[in-house]
Amino acid sequence: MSHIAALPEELVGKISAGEVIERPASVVKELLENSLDAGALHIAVEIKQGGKQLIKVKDDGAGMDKADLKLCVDRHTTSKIRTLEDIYNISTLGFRGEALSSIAAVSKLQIVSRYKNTKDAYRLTVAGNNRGIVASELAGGTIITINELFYNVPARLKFLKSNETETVHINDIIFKLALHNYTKSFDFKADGRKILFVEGVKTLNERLYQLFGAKAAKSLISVNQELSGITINGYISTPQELKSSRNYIYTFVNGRIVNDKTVNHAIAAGYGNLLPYGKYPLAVMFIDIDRRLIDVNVHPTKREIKFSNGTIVHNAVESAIRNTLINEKPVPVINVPNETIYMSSNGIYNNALQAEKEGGYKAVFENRASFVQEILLKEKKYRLKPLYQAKNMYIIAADNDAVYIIDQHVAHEKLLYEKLKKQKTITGSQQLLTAISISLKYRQAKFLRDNMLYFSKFGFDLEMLGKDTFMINGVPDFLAEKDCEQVLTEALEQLEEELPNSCSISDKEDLITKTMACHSAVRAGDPLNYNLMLVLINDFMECELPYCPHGRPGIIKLTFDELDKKFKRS
Amino acid sequence: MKISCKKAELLENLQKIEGAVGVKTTLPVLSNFLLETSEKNLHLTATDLELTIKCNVENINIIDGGEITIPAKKFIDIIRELPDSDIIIDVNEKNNITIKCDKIIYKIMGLPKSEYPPIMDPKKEAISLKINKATLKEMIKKTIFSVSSDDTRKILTGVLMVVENNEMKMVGTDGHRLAFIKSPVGKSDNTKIIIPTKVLNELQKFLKEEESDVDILIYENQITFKFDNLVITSRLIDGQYPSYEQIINRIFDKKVKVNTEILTKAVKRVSLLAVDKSSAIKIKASDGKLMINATTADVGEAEEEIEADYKGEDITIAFNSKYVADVLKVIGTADVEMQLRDTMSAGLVKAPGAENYIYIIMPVRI
Repeated sequence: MSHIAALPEELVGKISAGEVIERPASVVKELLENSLDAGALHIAVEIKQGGKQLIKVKDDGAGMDKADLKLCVDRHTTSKIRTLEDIYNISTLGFRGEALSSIAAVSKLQIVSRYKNTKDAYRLTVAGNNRGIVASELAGGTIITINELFYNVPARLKFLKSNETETVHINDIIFKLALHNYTKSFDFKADGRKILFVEGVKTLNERLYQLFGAKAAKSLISVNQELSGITINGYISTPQELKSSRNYIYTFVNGRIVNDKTVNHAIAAGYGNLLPYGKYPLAVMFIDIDRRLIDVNVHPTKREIKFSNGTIVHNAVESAIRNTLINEKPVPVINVPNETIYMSSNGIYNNALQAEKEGGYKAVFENRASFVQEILLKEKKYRLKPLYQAKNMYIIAADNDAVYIIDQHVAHEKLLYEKLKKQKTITGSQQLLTAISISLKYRQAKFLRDNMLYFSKFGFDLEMLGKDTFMINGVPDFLAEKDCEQVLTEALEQLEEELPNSCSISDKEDLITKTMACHSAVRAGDPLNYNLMLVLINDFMECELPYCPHGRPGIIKLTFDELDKKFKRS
Repeated sequence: MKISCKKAELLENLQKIEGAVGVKTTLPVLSNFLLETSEKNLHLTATDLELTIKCNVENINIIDGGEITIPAKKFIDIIRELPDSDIIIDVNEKNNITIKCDKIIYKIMGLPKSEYPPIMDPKKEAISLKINKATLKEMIKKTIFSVSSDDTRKILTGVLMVVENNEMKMVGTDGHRLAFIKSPVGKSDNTKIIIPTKVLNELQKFLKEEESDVDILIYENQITFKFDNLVITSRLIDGQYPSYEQIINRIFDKKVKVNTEILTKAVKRVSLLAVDKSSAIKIKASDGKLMINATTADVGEAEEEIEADYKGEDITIAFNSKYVADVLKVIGTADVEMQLRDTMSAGLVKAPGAENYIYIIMPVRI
């Protein structure tokens, strides 16, 4: 008896569906790409229970006639390519002819469509092997309804995440497609709640305004360059407006959402040393390249592409970003009225100047009072003396045994972390004169909503205004002089990046504490005065483990014995 | 260029413009002074592109007219150390500068004026007004300490100046407290601008407590102050200043009057034990007294009772002690009036009976 047998058609369908359709978000991506390929101007997406129960995509694209409708759910049927040559010259987003058949294999599918310039609409229903097509009514375009995704693949269903998480993934996809297709309008509803709605606009800039808000859109600078046949358009953030998460880099190659290492690396290289460690730009890059120079047929979900010459692409992106940043530098010109009406005066200003020099120095965290107050205590208490602050980053110190090099950021971060952790009561909350409103991305808003309690424990007095708008009424008192809005959004960005979907409550609390400490601490590059360094390093030495909460070391100790050896003193 | 002058005269004027010399600048020439001669006067200029100070020096003997830029720090250090005598400054066509005084000779390299950024006339018509020197100085002093030191909130790092209905108003805030002061001025157009603190600090240094006026010219994106022999120009901060009117018009139903000095000392003493809560101190007002208290877990507690003019129900409120100390330092009256409503609402500090200066502090929720 032979061991090898051809698999039944239905099983083959489910297996290949697994490659294309990973989760509800993949369905949404495939369907939206079809809508865009069909020239739709208005696209509405509606989901229920994270897309597990229902995904409905409605567009006003070209539509399908009866014959097309019949064929479209068969495997390897497409309107987008005809011959092998076409694969190497693809202008549409889709081409594999797998999406609808894959979706049909794992869900209950219904398509209602009316082909442009015809009067009749038809409805196709597919559930397992049952297919039916009947006449229907529709003003135009196509409505695709997917019920009970993965109903016949229980294994996949089991591995889906919570409804909220799946909604977040779907939102990400729509967000990205909306970014590129700014002339189209997108409408996304989940369980009846409006999550994203943008009207079609004329320019990318307007779309950025819609999606990222006025402040972010204003701070972006535009990139327009053509090099070696590669056109690069888009917007990038200035080095002053960086993000703590790499989730804000959106690249599109010939309109396709792509996450490509070459491109990401080139973006970072373009910024060069303007990007500090752990900081990423917000970048929206539209890269247009001769279709024959890329291979999009690499990955079933088309997330990856291959460049026939990666170096050219890298160079083009890098130089586009570098040139843009260089051109942004302001030209120095000063304006002073030229007529001069002078009177002479006498009097010596020595004293005034001197007083200013002594009293005028404003410490970086003068008001981070935990330090200020302690400075009032005698200096004698401290064993370790700071000698020098190198590069505004490292504090060099020495005592009788050794020389120490201390990373100021790590030291302060650790201190804040320990302090926040030990604190049993709630941190004081400095109330604000006028509340600040912040709007967050869907994912961050969800995170903040879920964890409001922790943030209020740290002294953030927050109030929810709408689905993604919050009012900050009060801020942690230890952050008094800092831009709390920024600390909060940076912390959220980082948490969004790092927080695993499932982790215990105590782990989560710890991670939030770490992140808050990290973003509240002095940064590398902040100048510190003697007293602040004194308190900082001595307190740091008393910490249980002189490591940063993320595990980086914070101190290097060189004993005089070691130094003697190094200098060959015997 | 060749000039001679008295040491004291030159030094005094160099010190007036020193504050505008660019410190961390990408344009090396900005760390130089610009020296130019007109028929009888020497004109000194320093700029960091944000702030520009020009100073006119009379009583100069101009032997040969010309212009040069000189490394600021070196030049002022040299002049400072010279004996009190006549100084001759001689510049040749290769920009070599010779400074002679008695038997001392310095030779330093300058840069030609052509390297200095062009100084251009502002394009638009100015709004002009006059204000008394002492008044302006007081207004700066009573608002500047409230501004934010956080560069990421650029707008709040400056002081708002509003001119309307023949009044000049200045506002400083960091989002937690706000200082507001107003004073009548002569007829002028209305305007609303944000002034960087750097120029105000320079003004504070050189404005004297005397009766004469300062001329203020406000252009689209810059402000110019003219007084004595100085013309000080600064760029303005661009942006929308938060609306302060609602904040200063809040309503308070409890009024406490205390002696300024006694309160200042009490706040200072008590805040020694206010380490942990970012120096939040608790103030409790009850009939005839104020109780000021600070507690730090594991460390200790401080409490001081002071006499106060108060009648009404008890109220306890916590403030950042620095915010309280700051206003007490500048208020300048023997007594101070504090107005409160409840634990979570703002408090107001002012001089009793005076309405021109108002300081609002937000409480700390503990």
